[in-house]
Amino acid sequence: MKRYLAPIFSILFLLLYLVSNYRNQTPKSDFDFDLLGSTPVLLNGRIQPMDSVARNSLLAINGKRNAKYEDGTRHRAIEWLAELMLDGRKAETRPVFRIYDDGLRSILPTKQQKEDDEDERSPIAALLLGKGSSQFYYSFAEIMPLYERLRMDAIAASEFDAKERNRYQTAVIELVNGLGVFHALRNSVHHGELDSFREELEILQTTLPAGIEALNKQQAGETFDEEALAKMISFARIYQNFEKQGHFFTHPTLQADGELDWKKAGALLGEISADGTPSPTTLAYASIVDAYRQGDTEKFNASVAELHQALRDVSPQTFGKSAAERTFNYLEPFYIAMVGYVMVLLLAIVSWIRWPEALSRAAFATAALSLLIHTAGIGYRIYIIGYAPVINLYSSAIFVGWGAVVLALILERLHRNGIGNVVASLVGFSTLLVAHHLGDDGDTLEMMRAVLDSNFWLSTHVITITIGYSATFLAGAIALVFVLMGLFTARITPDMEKSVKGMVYGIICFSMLFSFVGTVLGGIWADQSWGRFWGWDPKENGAILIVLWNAVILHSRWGGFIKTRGLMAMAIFGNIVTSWSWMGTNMLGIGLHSYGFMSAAFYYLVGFVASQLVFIGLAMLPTQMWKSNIKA
Amino acid sequence: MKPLLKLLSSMELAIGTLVLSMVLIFFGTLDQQNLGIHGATEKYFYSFFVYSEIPSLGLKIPYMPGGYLLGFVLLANLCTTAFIRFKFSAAKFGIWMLHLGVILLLIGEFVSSVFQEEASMTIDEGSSKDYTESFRLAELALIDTTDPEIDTVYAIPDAMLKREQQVTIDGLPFSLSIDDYMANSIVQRRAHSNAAANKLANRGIGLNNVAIEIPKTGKTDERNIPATLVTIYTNATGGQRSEVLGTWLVREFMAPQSFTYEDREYTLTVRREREYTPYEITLLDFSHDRYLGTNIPKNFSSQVLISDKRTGLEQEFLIYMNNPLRYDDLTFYQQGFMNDDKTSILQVVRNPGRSLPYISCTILTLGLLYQFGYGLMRYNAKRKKAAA
Repeated sequence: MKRYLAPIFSILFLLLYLVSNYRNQTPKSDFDFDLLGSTPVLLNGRIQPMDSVARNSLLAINGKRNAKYEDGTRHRAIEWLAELMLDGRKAETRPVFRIYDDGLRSILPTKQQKEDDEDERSPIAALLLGKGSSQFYYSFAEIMPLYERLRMDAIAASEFDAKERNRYQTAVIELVNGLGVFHALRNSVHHGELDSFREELEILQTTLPAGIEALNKQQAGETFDEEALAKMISFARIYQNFEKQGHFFTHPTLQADGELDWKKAGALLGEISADGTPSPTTLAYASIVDAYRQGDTEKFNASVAELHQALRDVSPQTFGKSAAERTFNYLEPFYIAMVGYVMVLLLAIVSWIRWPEALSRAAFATAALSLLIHTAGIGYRIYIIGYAPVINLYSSAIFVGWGAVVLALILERLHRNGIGNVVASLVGFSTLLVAHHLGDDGDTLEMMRAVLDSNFWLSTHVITITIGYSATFLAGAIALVFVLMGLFTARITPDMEKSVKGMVYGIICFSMLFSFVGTVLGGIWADQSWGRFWGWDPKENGAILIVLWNAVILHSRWGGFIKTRGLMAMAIFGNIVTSWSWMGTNMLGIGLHSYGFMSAAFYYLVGFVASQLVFIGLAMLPTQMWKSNIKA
Repeated sequence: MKPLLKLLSSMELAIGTLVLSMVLIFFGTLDQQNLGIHGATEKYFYSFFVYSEIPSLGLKIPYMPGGYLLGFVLLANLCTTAFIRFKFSAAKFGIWMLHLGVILLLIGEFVSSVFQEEASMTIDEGSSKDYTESFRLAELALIDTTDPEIDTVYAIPDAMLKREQQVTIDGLPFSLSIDDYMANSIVQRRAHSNAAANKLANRGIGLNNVAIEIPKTGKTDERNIPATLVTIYTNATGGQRSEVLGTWLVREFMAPQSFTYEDREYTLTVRREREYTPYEITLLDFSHDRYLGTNIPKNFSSQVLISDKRTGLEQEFLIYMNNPLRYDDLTFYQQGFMNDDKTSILQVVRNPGRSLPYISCTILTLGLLYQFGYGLMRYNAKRKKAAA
C-alpha cells in the first residue's frame, strides 16, 4: 500500500485541480450566465456556444480570457459579452482593449498607472509579475473620439503586406479590427436605440402593417397616413444597419431539405411583415434584453430557458455540438495537462534527491493522467470539428506534444530510468505552451478550406508527418536531458549510457519511418489534388529535410563515424531541423502550405535555434569535462 | 576493389551528398521568397550548379552543386552500393529494398523535371474548349483570316522563338525572321525610350511603342509577358527577288495586328502556347459554396461534358477539389475560378513519370518497415536474453 501512496496523492491533486478549475468557470452572479453561454449561435460557418464567441472575441481584443474592469474586478468572458450585447452603453467604459504599441498609445489619452494595481500585489508578486498593467487597457469610449484617424491609418497600413508593416501599422490594424468586432457584437442581439426591446416589438407589430398600407396607398396615388409611413421609415433606417452589423447569426430556420439556415437578429423585421408576429426566438431574445437591463435575474433566467426551448422547437439540430464545446471550454483540458506536466517534472527532479522509487512512480502516474486529459482534449476537438486532429498550426502543436508524450511514456515503461518521465513533461509542456500562444488569435476550431478538404491521403499525411515531428523532438529532448545530466551530475552510469543511446537510436529510426511515410502520403495527396507528386513547396522541402537529417544520423551511426556524444549532438540538431520544417517554413508565407503565417514567432524560433546550438556545443565537450563517466 | 568504385560506393560520399542536399534545399527554400517557387526550383534543384551572377562583369560563378549534380552523385553511390557492395542476407534485405526505392525515386523526380508539362484550360459556363494553354511557354500565331468562316493558324512555338531563327512555313508565300525574343517584357512609348535602332519596328503598334526585356519572374502572383520583334519577307521564287514586308512588335495582350499580302488577310499575335486535344470540353456548370457568413470556400466544382471527336462519345464528369478528371494522357484539376463564379480554371498536367513515385515509395515503405521491424525483433530478443 505504501508504495502507491505518492502516486495516489499526486493523481488526486491533479484531479482536484481539474474539478476546481471547472467550477471556477461559472461567473459569480445571480444571472444564469452558464445557461446563456450555452446558447447556440452561428459564427465562422459553424454552430458554437455563445461562451466560445465570448472567449475568442475577448482573447482577440484583450489578449486574455478574462476581463478586468475599471474598478479592478475580474469578469468571465461571457459576463462581458452579455453586458456588451444586451446593454451596450455600459460596456463602452470597460477597459478591454489592450494596446501595447507606444506609438498608438501616444495618440490616445494618457493613462496613469493605477494606484490599486500596486496595492493588490505584494512586493514579491510585483517583482515576479510586474507592477500591474492597467495603463495598457483602454475602453471603447476612450478610443472612439479618435476613430476616424485610426481608421484612415489602418486603411493606409493595409496597403502593405503583413510582413512589411511597422509596429504601429500592425497595432492600428489590430485595434480597428477589434473595434469592428466590438461594435458588431454590440449589435448582434439588439440595436440599442430603444430602451425596451419587448415594447419595440409591440410597436412594430402595429407600425409595420400601417406603414406598409400607407406606402401602398402612396404608390397608388391615394391619400395616405403620412405619420405611419414616416414611423415605418425611421424603423427601416435603424434596421437597415442593424441587419448588416451583427457579428453572429442568432435565428435558425429549418429548411425543406432538412438543413438549417441562419439569419441575424435584424431578420425580425421580415418575420413581422410576413407573419404579423415575431418568432418565439425573437420574443425570448427581447425578454432577455429587457430583463438584463432591468436587473431582473429571475426573469432573465426564465427567458434564457425560453430561448433554448424556442431553438429546440425549431430543430434539435440547432444545438449541434455546442454543448460539447461548452464543456470543452470549461474543462480547459490543455491547460490542465500543462499543469500536470509541470508536476511530473517537479516529481521527477525531486525523485533524484529523495524517495526515488515512490516519486518516479508518482511522476509516471501523473504523466499518464496528464496524457489522458490531453487525449480527451484532442478527442473533444475531433468531435466538435468532425475532422482529423490536425487542421492548423495550433492543433499540430497539440498533436506533436501528444505523440511525443505517448512515445516517451512507452520508453519509460521499457527502460524505467526516469528519463522518459522527464522528457514527457518537457516536450508535453513546451508544445502546449507553443500551442497556447498560437491560439492567441481567437477561434482555433476554424472550418476547413476547400483546398484542404478532408481526404484520406491528406488526413493520414498530416497525422503521420506530425508524429514524425513528435519523434524527432523526442529524440532531441532525450539527448538534451542526457547531455545536461551527464555534464553536470554523475548520474549517468555506463549501463544508463547504453540504454539512453538505444532509446535515441530507436526513436530516430521511428522518426525516419514516420517522417518518410508522411512525406510520401503528402506526395500522393499532392498528386491527387494538384497534379504533381513533388512541387518543391517550402513545407515539402522542410519535410524532406527531416528525412534527410535522420538518414544522415543513421548512416553516420552505421558507418561508425559517431559515438554517444556525436549521436546526442546530432539528435539535438534534429530539433533545429524540425522546428524549421514545422514553424520556419510557414514564416516564409509562400506556397500552398502558407496557411499559418506568423511574424512575431520568428524571434522565438531564432532563440530556440540558438539555445539548441549551445546544447550541441555542450554535447561536444571532451569526456574529461563530463561529471558522469561517459565512454565516448 | 578499384579505388574509384570504392570512393563511389563509400558511406562518406553518401553522408556528404545528403548533407549538401540539406544545405541546397534550405537555401533554395529561402530564395523562394525572392524568385518564387518555380524560379528557385529551376535555379537550385533542376540544375547542375547554382550560379551567382555578377552582371557588371557578365560572369556566372558556380558556388554550390545543384540538385541534378547531387542527385546523380547519390544515384551513382546508391547503384554501386546496391549492386556491388551488398551481399544478400535476411538482415540486409530491407536495406537493399530501401536503396532500390531511393534509386527509383531519384529517377522518377528526374523524369518529372524533364517531361512534366503543365497547362491550364479556362472555360466560361456554357462554352467549350478543345485546347489547353501552357503556363510558361508562349507562341507566335500567324492567322490567315481571309475566309470569314475558317481561320488558318500557323503557330511558331516557344522553342523556335527562343532560337531567334528564320522560319519558313509550307503553304505561306512569305517567311518570318524572329529578330528578337523577350521572355518577359515591359512596354514604353517610343518617344520616351532610347532603344537601339535595330530593336525598332516599322509597322503597327511598334511605330509608337517599344518593348524592353526584363528578367523572368517565377513568382506565383506575377506573370511573364513575352514579346517578339518579327520581320516578314516574301519568298524568292523564280526570278522574283525577296522583298521585306515590314517589322512588327508583337507582345502578349497586345491587340492583334493585321496586314494584307496577295489579297489575303493575316493577323499576328503572341499568346500562350496551345495544344489541341482530340476532344472538346464544355463547362455545364461551375459551383462555389462558402461557409455561411464567411468567405471561406467550402467547395468548388466544375460539371463538364467531354465530346470525343474520334469516337463521337459524350460523357459527363464532375471535377472538384481532390477529385481530378483523368482523360487520355492528361489530368484536369480544379484550380480556380473568376468572372463572378461564371468561369472555371482547370489545371492540366501531363506527366509520363507519374507512376514512378508510387512504385518507388511502395518499395521504400516496405523496406523501412522490414528493416525496422527486423531491428526491433532482434532488440527484443536481446532484451529477453538479458532478462533471463
